[in-house]
Amino acid sequence: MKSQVMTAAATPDIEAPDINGEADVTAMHEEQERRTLEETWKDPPGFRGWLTSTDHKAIGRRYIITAFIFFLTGGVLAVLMRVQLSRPENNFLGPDLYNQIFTMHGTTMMFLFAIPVMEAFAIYLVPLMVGTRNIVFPRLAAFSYWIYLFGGVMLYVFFFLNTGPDTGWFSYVTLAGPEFSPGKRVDVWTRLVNFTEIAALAVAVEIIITVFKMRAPGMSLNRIPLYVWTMIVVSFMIVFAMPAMMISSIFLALDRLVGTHFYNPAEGGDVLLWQHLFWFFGHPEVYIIFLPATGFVSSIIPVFARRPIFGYTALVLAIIANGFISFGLWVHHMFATGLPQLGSSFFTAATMLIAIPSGIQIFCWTATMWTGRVRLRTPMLFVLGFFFIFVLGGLTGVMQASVPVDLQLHDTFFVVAHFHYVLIGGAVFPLFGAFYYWFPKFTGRMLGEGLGKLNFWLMFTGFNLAFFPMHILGLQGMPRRVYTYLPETGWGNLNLLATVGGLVLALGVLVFIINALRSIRRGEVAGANPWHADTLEWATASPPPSYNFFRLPIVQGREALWTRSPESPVVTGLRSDCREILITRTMDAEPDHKLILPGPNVGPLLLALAASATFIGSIFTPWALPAGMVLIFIALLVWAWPRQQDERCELPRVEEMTEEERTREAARAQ
Amino acid sequence: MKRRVDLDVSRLPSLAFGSRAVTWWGVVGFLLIEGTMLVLCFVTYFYLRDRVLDWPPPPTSLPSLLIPTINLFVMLASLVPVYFVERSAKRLDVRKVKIWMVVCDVVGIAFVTLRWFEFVALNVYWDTNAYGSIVWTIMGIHTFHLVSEVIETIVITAILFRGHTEPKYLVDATDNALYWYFIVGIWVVCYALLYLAPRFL
Repeated sequence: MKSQVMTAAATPDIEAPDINGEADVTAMHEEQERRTLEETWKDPPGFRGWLTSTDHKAIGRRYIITAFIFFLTGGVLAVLMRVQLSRPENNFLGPDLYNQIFTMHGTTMMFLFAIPVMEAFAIYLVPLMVGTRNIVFPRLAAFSYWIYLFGGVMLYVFFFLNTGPDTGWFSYVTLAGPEFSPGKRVDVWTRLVNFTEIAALAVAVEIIITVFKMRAPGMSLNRIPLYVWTMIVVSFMIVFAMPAMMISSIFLALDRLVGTHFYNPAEGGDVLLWQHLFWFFGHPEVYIIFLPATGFVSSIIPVFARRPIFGYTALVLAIIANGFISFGLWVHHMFATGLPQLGSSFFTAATMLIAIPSGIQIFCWTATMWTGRVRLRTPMLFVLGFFFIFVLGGLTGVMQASVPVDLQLHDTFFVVAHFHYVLIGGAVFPLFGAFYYWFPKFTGRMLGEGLGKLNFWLMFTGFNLAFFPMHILGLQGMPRRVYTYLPETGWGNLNLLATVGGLVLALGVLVFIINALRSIRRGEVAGANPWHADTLEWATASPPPSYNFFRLPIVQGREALWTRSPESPVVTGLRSDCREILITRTMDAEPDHKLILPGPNVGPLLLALAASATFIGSIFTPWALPAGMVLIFIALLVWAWPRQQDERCELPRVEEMTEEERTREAARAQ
Repeated sequence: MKRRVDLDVSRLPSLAFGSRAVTWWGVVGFLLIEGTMLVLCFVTYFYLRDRVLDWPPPPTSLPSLLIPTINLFVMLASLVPVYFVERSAKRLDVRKVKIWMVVCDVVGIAFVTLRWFEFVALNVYWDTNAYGSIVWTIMGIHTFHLVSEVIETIVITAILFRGHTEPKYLVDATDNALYWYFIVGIWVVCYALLYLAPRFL
């Protein structure tokens, strides 16, 4: 309440109170205003609207569905690999196809599923959670989706043409260099990486600005929901980590396309340069995937433990610490390369250090559950599954921080087991929890609880059956990335067990799909806030209207909805006939000024097409780059050139203002 | 019905410059990304320097100094019209913004033209050795930004001269100025690395 008083006092332009008239007149006005808002914010009808949409919910939904489809294709590839490895000297897949498949599996899961799906959730949820009408640059969000989609489609088209990348998801040189990988397979991989990076960077910048400048009044920094905090940290990590991938893949592409020598030792280049640059991205990447999942967990636990989260400040600091430390770990992927011992010791220490903030998070969640009254619904089950699996994965991680252990286990199935425990446990289980938790918000209907429990137990059992044996296989010396092994090794039984586990896991995912398809049509109607949750996305209808909130909320406490009453104030005075939003100040979210957001436009789609044509063309000839720039320029003009209908809501042209108006507007705008 | 005290924002300004505006933050985000890319290129430069005895590796000769130094001063001089664009835009003085934007366009075209000769002044090709690869890549990335900045400036000039003088396009002009400052500022580092450093390292 204090902040509310301060807001009104500090901003003399705001007039209060707004006096409500007679009740039924108000209701009529409200109905009228809702219709105007809907008219203003909705997408154009039909297919054109689908291609030009700038609604963050439409974009987010598509992004989630697309990423989930890539999760399924990556999963199918995983099953194929498991079938191949189920017995010694199997001939189901040949070595060449196996190489392509494990590369496609890793690339798909990292670049087309894990990063994009986390961003997709943020595109949908962050504007709702901070209480605004849309994401800050909606056309950029649309562009991000298209370029991501085209990148993924490109990868699979080349794969089906037998030109799928085959050098592993981290494409080490010299294997991936022009000498040992002639042909176009690695080029396809480098371009795919570029597509995903552009998509990810665009979203990262949007999330930062949406959170910093568009929060509902009263949502000061210390009241931002924890999920949103994780997305801020992750977005900054993307901004600083992704350029390393961009640079390393550009170097690789240039080495292969125009004969530069970055990774060619014969001409002064260096092969370890690739590993340094790749892992400078690749390690933060792990946390880019993991931290949003901790955000899901921090959202789900307080709601199902029915109490505010324990240790909010400690959790926020832990997330930030995770973000920083994750940039100091990359060399632990390179212990086997013979780097100086002092350097290795530093990275061992840093690797062990990151267990501390991760541990703080685990303890805060445990304390929340311990002191709350836990409801064991499906989202919560997935969170508990996350605890079990992720803690195991974290422990094997600490083991491998030790250089001697790492040297022993490097490139064995132990590593495969470790990172699947971390990534599936740390990201996929919370993600499925998030599906169950937010499905009612996305669709207006609940996912089935019975199928949900079946879904969880199949995935949990299947996962452990599939991946636990790999620890033992790794300790027994089975190397990763081999398409088969000999019967004398004695690895057959454990591999068969892992394959059975993989199939059970896949069955669990199938149950989820059935559950989702059933529930969309026949699920229980959810209502605005079926879980009695505390964050702002639950303050509006499910699914939310195109304008998100009829009146922007005013936040009066950390748990926005738990500290709210029907008498709580809201924001009035935003135009409903224009896409007008409220910009607030970064620290205290006090109202600052109003802004008109751009509406639907075909430019983002055209730009994505132009950029895709450029990238794909550049696989074959460097001349695609200058030619593509012309196309990109044209698309940008379509995107940004002023149109009459865009200007209806803007301030008048400067020449049409009086001298006095101009001076006043200029003074208020500084 | 209990009377609620709502927050009426209808009289807030609809225009804001600098860090109050979301577009300013957008440009800063872009600059952070591009800046990180260039910094990683600088790191690569020193990393590769460390791999060989002589820099540039013989028989590659040193880069020439004359044209790059002239262009450095042209770019530094371009900060003057950019500053005036920014200042008049913030005062909503469209006439002056238009004049200074045209000056920016001319200076921009001048240094993009000189850039061609700066590539020649490197005295090495990208496929000669790793030294050539990294200096060409740094030049390439910077030139990409330089050209897109000049094109953007010309487009904004065109928008203003087509009569779209709503204040939001003046905000665009100031954000464009921020991008310009970045490009000139980081070029000072690139210049030192590309043309001076090989003489000392």
